[in-house]
Amino acid sequence: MALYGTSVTTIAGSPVNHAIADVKAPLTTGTKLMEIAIVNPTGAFNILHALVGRSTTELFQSYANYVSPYDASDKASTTSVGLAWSIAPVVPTQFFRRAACASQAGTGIIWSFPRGIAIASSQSIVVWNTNAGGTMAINISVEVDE
Amino acid sequence: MAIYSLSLNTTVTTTGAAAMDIKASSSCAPRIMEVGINLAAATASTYGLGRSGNVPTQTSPVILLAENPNDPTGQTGAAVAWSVAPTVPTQFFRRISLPGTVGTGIIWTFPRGLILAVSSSMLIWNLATNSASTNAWWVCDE
Repeated sequence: MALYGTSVTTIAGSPVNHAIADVKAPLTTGTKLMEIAIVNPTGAFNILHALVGRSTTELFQSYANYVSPYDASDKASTTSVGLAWSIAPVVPTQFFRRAACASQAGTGIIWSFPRGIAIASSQSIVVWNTNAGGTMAINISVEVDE
Repeated sequence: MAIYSLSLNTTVTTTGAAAMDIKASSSCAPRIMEVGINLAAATASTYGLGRSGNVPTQTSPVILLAENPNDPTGQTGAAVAWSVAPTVPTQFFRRISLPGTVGTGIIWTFPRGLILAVSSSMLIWNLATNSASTNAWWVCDE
């Protein structure tokens, strides 16, 4: 197993009760989410309510942001972070983690999962927003073990 | 042993009352590995983490989620309401006072686990009149 990571900036203006990012496992193999960080970079209006949960349906990312290996000699990964989808994700039934982040630049949270949250092949963990006023762009960093 | 976790939001503000609990099943004594608290409303809040003084009866408990979907269904449930309310812990393992700022919080980890006996509860207890919206999560090893 090897470690991979990436950092993305979500799309501003996502509506309430909508996914703002997902981490999708490759087509033929699962992956483990080891850490996810959510940071408000600009301190713009509105409080972010970020929830991390398992998608109940397969998500089809409009563009895949692939994770990069921590060791350059490791094989390329096809675990990807999505910021937009051809079909809108459905809200998870329950959430592993949830947090509110104040509307100040630099606020956020890092959740680590020592044994990893296992994501089956082609399935996703989503970051869900329940903020009533819509969101600013958010920095999300993920680490996976694949 | 497998890892299970869950996050809920509690709106219980009453001082001297439980904001949230997790309760072990009658056949499983989980280890609590991590507890997190995060304020979603800007109210200065004080919480304690401790074993319930009684055996409460949860209303609509939510079973903790397996972090590996291949693991069996969890047995430990979390709740924010009770038909038989929890009573105050005799002592607290941890206490925290948080300022009235959204996003403040604490994450407590227990590397060897805080063991919850079968059918017993661990509480996040309101030590003051607290935030009307608080996120909290539990990580257990069953």
